[in-house]
Amino acid sequence: MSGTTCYHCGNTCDDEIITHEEKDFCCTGCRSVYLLLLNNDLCDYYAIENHPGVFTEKIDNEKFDYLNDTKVLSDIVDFQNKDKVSVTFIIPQIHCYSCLWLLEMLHKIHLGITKSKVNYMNKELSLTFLKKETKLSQVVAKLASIGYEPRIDLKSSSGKRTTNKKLLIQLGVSGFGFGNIMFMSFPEYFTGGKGIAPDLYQYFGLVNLFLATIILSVAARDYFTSAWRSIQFKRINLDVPIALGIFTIYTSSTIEVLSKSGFGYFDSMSGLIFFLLLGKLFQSKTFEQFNFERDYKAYFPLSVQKIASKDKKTTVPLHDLRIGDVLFIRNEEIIPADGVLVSKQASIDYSFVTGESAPEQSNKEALVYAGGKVKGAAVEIVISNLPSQSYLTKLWNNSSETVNTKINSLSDQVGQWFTVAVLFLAFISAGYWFFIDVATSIRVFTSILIIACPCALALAIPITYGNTLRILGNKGFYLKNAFIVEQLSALSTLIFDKTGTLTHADQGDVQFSGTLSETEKIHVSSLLSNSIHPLSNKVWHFLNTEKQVDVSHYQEKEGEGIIGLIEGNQIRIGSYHWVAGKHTNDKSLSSEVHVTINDEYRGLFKVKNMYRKGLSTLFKQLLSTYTLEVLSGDNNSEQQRLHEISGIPNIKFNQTPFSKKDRILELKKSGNEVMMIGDGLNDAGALLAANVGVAITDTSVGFTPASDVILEANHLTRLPLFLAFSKKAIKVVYACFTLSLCYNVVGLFFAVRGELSPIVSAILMPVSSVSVLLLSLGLLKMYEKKLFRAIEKIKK
Amino acid sequence: MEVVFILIAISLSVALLFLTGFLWAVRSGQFDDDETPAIRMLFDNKKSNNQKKD
Repeated sequence: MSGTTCYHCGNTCDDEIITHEEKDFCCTGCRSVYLLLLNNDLCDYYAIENHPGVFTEKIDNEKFDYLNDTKVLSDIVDFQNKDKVSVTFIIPQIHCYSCLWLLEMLHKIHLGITKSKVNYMNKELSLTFLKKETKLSQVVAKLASIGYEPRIDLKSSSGKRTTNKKLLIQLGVSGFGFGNIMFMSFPEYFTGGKGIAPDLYQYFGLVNLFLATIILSVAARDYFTSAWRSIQFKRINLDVPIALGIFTIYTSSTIEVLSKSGFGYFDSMSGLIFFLLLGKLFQSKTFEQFNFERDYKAYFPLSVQKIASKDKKTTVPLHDLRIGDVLFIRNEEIIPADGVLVSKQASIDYSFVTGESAPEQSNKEALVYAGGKVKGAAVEIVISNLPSQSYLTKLWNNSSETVNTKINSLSDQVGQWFTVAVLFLAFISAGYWFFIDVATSIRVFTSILIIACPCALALAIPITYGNTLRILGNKGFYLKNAFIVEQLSALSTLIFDKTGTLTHADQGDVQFSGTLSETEKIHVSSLLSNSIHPLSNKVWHFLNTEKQVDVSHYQEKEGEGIIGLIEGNQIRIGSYHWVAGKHTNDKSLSSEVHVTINDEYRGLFKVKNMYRKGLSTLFKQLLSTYTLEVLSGDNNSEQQRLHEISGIPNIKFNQTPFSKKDRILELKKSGNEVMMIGDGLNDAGALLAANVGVAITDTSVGFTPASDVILEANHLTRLPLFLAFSKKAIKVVYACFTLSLCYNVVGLFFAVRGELSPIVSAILMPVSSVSVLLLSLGLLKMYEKKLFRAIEKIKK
Repeated sequence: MEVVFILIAISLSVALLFLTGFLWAVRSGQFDDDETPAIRMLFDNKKSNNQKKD
């Protein structure tokens, strides 16, 4: 009976259902954890959240033995003396309150642990254990057995906390100053300076000056440094008007107090700084929440082939990799983490990291680095560092040809225009008032700068885009960065690749006609295992040989085929043109993979394509809004079938990677905004050329920094929903702009007339920021619910 | 009326004392984690049933 969920981890039990006392589990692992908790009276774990368990594969207990080495120990631990050891781990599987509860109950499960404390937001566990009762390797093994295997990074890194400390200090100082300055300003508020002796009056003013100077130097300095840096680059960023406003108030008030001509506006200045910092704190808290969820679920789904014990290959997602794992990386796949080469030789292209396009030859035991692309025969490496998603994302973002430099992002455009307009208005109004009353003129200048603060803009855009990225990522659509959202909303034409995109990359009917002995089948299969082309995968699955042998002189020509030398035999596999050197006249009815051994033709594999489910609905939905085209590198045997499924008039076959790229450039030249959806291997050039390149991934993937978006293959049918959502995100941004402009117009109306006291404007500004923030969050939440409901409908 | 000078000086000193206290608390890491204590507070503290286990 399908649909039973595991009591422990919540996954559906498809292979086998293991029952214990009326509770169902998906595997013995989950059941053992349950029994462990039951025996230790810890079943509250299940009471706090539903299915809080984390599904883990069987772990090899020896893999933690390296932790007992004294040098390794001293690198990792926080503190140790002759009795106890204190250590802090990062545990990425922490995702709910049950995890928190259980991890603080560790002393009940494992003898020797005296205390354990969790930092939930940072996903850290700090624990102390007694040396005579247990060892570090046992502690880690125990954690792994209940599903919370820690991430052991031999290089320590924790940059998160320090920035918040600084912000809190600044907030404390400015709050202290704000309160006390207002307190000192009571004489001014109540009597306007007439009720007390002039000496006393000035004394109050001087105290305020003293406090304000402290605030300026401690709390406000970031705004000044940021504004100064931006001016040095000849740009005006959003901190420039703020810094200018603060500076103006400070100097004019100082002059007033020292010359005994007035009291100054230090209260407004300190209030302004306090509220600005409060806004920053709020922003950082919201981003913390995003990062928390992102670490657990929404990072893009990269997997690699890992060689477990006994030469069995399994596909493992990146975040499950551990130091010491042996990976099997094929032609055109990217090395996900630094490591050491196990194979005798490797040819690695580091163009994504260094820009060098000539591949580097490495020998066994050489160091290889994350971001390098394997060229030629597949290699085995043992990783020495954990893969860093942020490093790979950085590579993804930095990869050379970001062709679109002329597209200024929305925030840049509006920000600059806005700041210039505000400064202009401020100078004009101040100039006007200068001839009437100098004091009012200065007040007008500063109030305009404060009320027109574009911080609502500064908040609205990153929060809206950040939220959009997170929501789309949760549903299987991973964007490289926030600005892709804008490009997604402006598309006019969509181009699809066929093989691997519209068809399944690894399933399909394969038939062989020809002669191959058993040994030869093993050879052919070994050659195929080096390639990640969908056809190679399908034929390899079909052959299904247990044994694999080494291949030398491996070469792959995209769109054509592969060639290699195995035990003295030269084997060619691919299109007829590739293996035979001439074109065939036979009309073929399906994709064909031909084989020659030592230039002797041996036969062919006929691969019938299996199209993904839901394509006709997908195309029907898209055709109403976009122009669609299909460009396929395959032969046109499927032309009729594809026409029926898609209803697309423009389907071209026998496309080379170059002709695909040319077609895209042609479309762009005639003014279209083009999205290319392909499998990343043969389409790298086309993906780069398009405005937005989408790489489809099945479970194991060749990471393509050429793409802007990664889309999970089984979610292809959600594409129209994703595109619609990005359009809505832009609408949300415009809504936030409008709201903030309203505040600005109202405030400016009073500011220009000199009727706005700086303190009121100093309060209005954070209010506008918060309301814009709430608007963005609220609208996106609403659209997210709609998206969710629409996706549920597709599932049915 | 001149006593006000002294009074203000005293009031500021007290306020400064509190500020120093806050800065010390921040520096010593008391504000590093303000989420977890809030969650921890809600857990039930079952007195360990030592009689149950044998």
